[in-house]
Amino acid sequence: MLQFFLRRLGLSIVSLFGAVLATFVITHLLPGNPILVHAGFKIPSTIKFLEQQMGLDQPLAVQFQRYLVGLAHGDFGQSWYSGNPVALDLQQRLPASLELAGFSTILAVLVAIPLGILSAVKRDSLWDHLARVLGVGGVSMPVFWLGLVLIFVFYYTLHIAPAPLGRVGTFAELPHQITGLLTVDSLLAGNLPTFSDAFGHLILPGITLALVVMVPVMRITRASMLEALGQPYIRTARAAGIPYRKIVLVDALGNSLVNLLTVAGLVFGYLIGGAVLVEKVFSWPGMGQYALNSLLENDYAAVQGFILVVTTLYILNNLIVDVLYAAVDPRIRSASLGTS
Amino acid sequence: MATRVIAPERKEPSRRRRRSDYVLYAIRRSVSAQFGLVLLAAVLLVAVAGPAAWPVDPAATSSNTLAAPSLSLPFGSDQYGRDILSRVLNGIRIDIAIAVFVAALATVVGALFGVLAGYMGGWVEQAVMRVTDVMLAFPGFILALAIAAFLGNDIRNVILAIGIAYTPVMIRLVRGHALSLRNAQFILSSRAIGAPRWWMMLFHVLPNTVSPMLVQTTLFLAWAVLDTAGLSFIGVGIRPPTPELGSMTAEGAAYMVSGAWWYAVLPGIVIMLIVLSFNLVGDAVRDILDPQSR
Amino acid sequence: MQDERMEELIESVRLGRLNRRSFIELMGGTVAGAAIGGSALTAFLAACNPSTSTQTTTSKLAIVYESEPTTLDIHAFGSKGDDAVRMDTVNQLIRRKVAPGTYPGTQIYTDQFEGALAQSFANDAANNKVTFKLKPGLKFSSGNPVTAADVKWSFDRSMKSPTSYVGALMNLLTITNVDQTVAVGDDTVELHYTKFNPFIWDLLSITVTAVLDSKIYKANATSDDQWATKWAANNIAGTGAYVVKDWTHGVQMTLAPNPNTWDKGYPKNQQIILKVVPDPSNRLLLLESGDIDIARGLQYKDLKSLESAPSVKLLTYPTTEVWWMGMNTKIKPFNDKRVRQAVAWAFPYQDIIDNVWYGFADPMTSFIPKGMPTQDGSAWVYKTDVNKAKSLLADAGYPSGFSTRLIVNPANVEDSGSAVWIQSGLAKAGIKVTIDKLNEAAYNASLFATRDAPLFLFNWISYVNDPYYHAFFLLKSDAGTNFSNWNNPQIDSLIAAGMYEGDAAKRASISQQIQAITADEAPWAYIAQPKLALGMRKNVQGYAHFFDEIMRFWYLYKS
Repeated sequence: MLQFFLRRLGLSIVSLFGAVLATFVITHLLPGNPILVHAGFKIPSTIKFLEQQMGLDQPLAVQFQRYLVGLAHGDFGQSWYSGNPVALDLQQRLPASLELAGFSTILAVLVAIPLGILSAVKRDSLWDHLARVLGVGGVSMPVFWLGLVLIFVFYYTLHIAPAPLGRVGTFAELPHQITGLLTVDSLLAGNLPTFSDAFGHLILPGITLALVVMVPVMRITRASMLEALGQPYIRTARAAGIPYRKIVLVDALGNSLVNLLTVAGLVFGYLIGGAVLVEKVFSWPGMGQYALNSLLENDYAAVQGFILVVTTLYILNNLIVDVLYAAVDPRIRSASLGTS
Repeated sequence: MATRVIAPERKEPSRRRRRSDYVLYAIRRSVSAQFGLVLLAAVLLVAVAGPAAWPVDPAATSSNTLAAPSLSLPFGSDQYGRDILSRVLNGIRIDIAIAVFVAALATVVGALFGVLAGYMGGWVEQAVMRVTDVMLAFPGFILALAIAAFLGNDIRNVILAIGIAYTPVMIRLVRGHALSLRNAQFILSSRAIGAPRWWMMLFHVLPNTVSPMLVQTTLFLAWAVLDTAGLSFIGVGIRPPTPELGSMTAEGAAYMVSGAWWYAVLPGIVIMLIVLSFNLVGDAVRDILDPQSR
Repeated sequence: MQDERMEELIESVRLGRLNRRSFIELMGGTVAGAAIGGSALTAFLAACNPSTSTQTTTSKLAIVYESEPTTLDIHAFGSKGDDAVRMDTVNQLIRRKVAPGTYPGTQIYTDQFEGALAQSFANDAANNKVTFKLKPGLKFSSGNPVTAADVKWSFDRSMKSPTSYVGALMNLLTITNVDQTVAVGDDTVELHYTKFNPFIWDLLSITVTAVLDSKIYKANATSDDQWATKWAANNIAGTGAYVVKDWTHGVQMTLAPNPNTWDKGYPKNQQIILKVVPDPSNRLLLLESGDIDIARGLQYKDLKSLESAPSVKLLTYPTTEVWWMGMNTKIKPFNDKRVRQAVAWAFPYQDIIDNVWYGFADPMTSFIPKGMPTQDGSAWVYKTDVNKAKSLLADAGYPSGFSTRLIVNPANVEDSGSAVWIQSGLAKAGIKVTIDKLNEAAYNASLFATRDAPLFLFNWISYVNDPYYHAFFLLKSDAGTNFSNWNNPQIDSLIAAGMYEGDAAKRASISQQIQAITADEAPWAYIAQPKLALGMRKNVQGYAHFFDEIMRFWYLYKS
């Protein structure tokens, strides 16, 4: 077991390094000199001076080495767009993404699990079909389009949602930052107006993401439940007179829980970096927007910082999933040892 | 005297006919499959015959800008006075073409590398899987975005960008199956009689992974339409005046607030219908090839 | 891409064993779920109340600009957002006087100058110098006294700093050496020139000639960064009405009143919040909901609806902005004058004014904008006439047209819109234009550095409202901003002749010659002079409009 874990960890670190290196190369190969991004015209001598100041005149290998050395000291480099250390930018952006991803995941799970259970228990019935239609529909919609439609209906026409302009209203009193999650922090500070403001702003983007992400959770629930319900011990329990509902909710669902938790975890991990389009539509200041803007502004250090964080999360996530499954099933352990 | 039992002549159906019988049966059973097939047929029909049936130049500007849907402009007009229906009809072709090329690219390249990694093992497998792992560590959309930004805004580059982003998925899938086939009886027998490895990979291993590959390819088709739209929404991708459904939705977003809902909503619905048809047919394919997943 | 891992997981669910551990009652789980759902619903309903959109207080103003501040170094090129922040945190020796404006409760610039930091200023023609005497008792926001040494240091920095472009401007005043700036005592500054430039007062009233707190900048200089360029990008220290209280890039900047301000009675408000809102339609939403008091950079398509909005007023002003499509005269076929003229004949001028600016723009008839002295549009004879274009093309050897490329920065909404109209307009004359969208860095690189784009879109506003200043940057052969690579020695000599010409009539006639030659040679197709549009809440008063479009926040207040 330990050998398995160490092996996976080692390979994960190799992947991480590979990702960082690949990002470094790709961003530096992107067309356009980052110095020319801001504020237009610069005379050649200014460009040279700025290149020197930013260390861009060194060969790529030297720049990469400097970057790695910086990383070892916890220095993620400087963002040219914001002027801040990238670590600071990430610190401000990550909670926004975590909040949105967390809210969407919870929402998706709350809806998907009951639907999945219903789907499995009442297989091929109206519920099942309804759930599957909802599922397929959710995955087929362009997520940015869905966000726009929701904004049009709930904000523009019905006026019940707040303006899609970020996490909170312009003059809301921001609570003291403990977790970085505005909803949690304002609750902890007892600041209810800010809490409802922040929560209100979470709802539309949360629903948009949840609708899309709900599908795999529903499918896993259904598949796991079906498999569990088909087991002989279920039939035995029924024959013994145990009420079906208890069987479903306790035994079958209980056995599916590991899968559900892992899916929820994977969904959450995906949402952190993958919510770019929704962040754009709702002006949500999260990681996805940060990556997008940095990419389009040739802000190398920022892009690398983003990739580093997201890749680490992904890899951690995958590692946990793989280890969980190996712990549960020794066959996977031995099968995987010979491969990746 | 021995009695001869006269049984009615029963013609044994050939193996191929039996499978198609099963396919038809599976389709008849599932409402969603029927709906999906009909929808897909409709989408393809519109893609092929649409522009000819509605012969309006999608790039023709006019002064009748942002007109609401009417008889002469069923989908209204955009801020340049262009007929949105005409742009949508032409856009369907482009999006489907992109999706097909992306799926083809990712499937072919992914399958080749996947079978190579799965069957050959050793350092080949390690090399391929490490690269795959790195690529899969990136959020997929960001990867496609970076590649598209790097290559420049052109349909060909969008296909390359998205295709490259999908390839590692297929590599992983095929490798997994090739791995399990490596020690199958018929493979070992063929090796024993001296069949060369490339022969084994191409004609024995690959054909047996076609089922899961096919399922994944249908998924690629659906994802590709969404991701093309997404890239265009951000502004990386198709150059004007090429009509692309995602960029139309993006431009329309700005006009939705002032009441011109048709500009963003209608192309978005069309995207959804296309993706829906791919998804439903894909689900049907999966159900046929792997009934256990039902 | 949305569920690749999910597919894998479904696979592994089938391959793996399901856990047989039993878990605690999920009844509890469902109850908890219901509790969360219930409180979520209540919170949603609470948040549903639209009046939670907080209003600004009477002394705080929230403003949205078309671009956000990027660098506060007054000697480096900046965005429009930079211009505003710089103007409001530093002062110059002199400034323009204001007079009551066109809209009630507003003011507008005049062409007369008064002392700002200077108590008096005069030209000593006999000794080839201009002299400024500083007001007594002036302090910087830090508390340091303002001295002539600070003025000299600031002017020296403008010429010596490695990131400064202002040296070229000072050269226009014939000031080429730092020794020409002399501090006499603590309160007098002399600028020695070789030729008197009539627009010297104008130049000394713009941000680049502002007075910086030299002690603070020197304290932040390093051995390889003597002029503190790195520090100056994110900080500014001067005598302006405001100081930068805090700045979160990409989110907002807060300006607070300068406790040591010399301008008594100003600022008329207690705080300015410059919010960054990248999406123009969002700016409109914020303005209408009252979260923002003033919005610039609104989309022109939304302006009409603002005219009749209940709580918002729309102010529009003609500007001295010039927008054009440049033709690179070094790239075939635009090296041929006939081809360039053909493009000018085929250009869809009215379509663009109507559909990109929705009528909120004036036609542009000269590279010198209306509103700048000596403007003369008589030489611009071109109107949209496809046949004329075709015949010129045939003369030049392109009877069936040709293919070419136009680069566009998609972040510029108007340029993106114009590009499509230009594409369809020129297509009618047989010119097939491919539109190339380049992000900011790539666009700037192509325009400034490689100069490889045959067609490009650009716009400009001259902060010194003078035709020779304008022509120097845009038309002079070796000017860095002459992106069309248009080298015309005749133009160069005319610019040189008119620059220092004191006689108004002669100045005008030389300028007219320049405009006539430019119109005939047509290195640019003139697009339009857009109007500046400001959306303002009805209770905002005191706005002072300047031709440079830079907002002076200290005049604003709410009634």
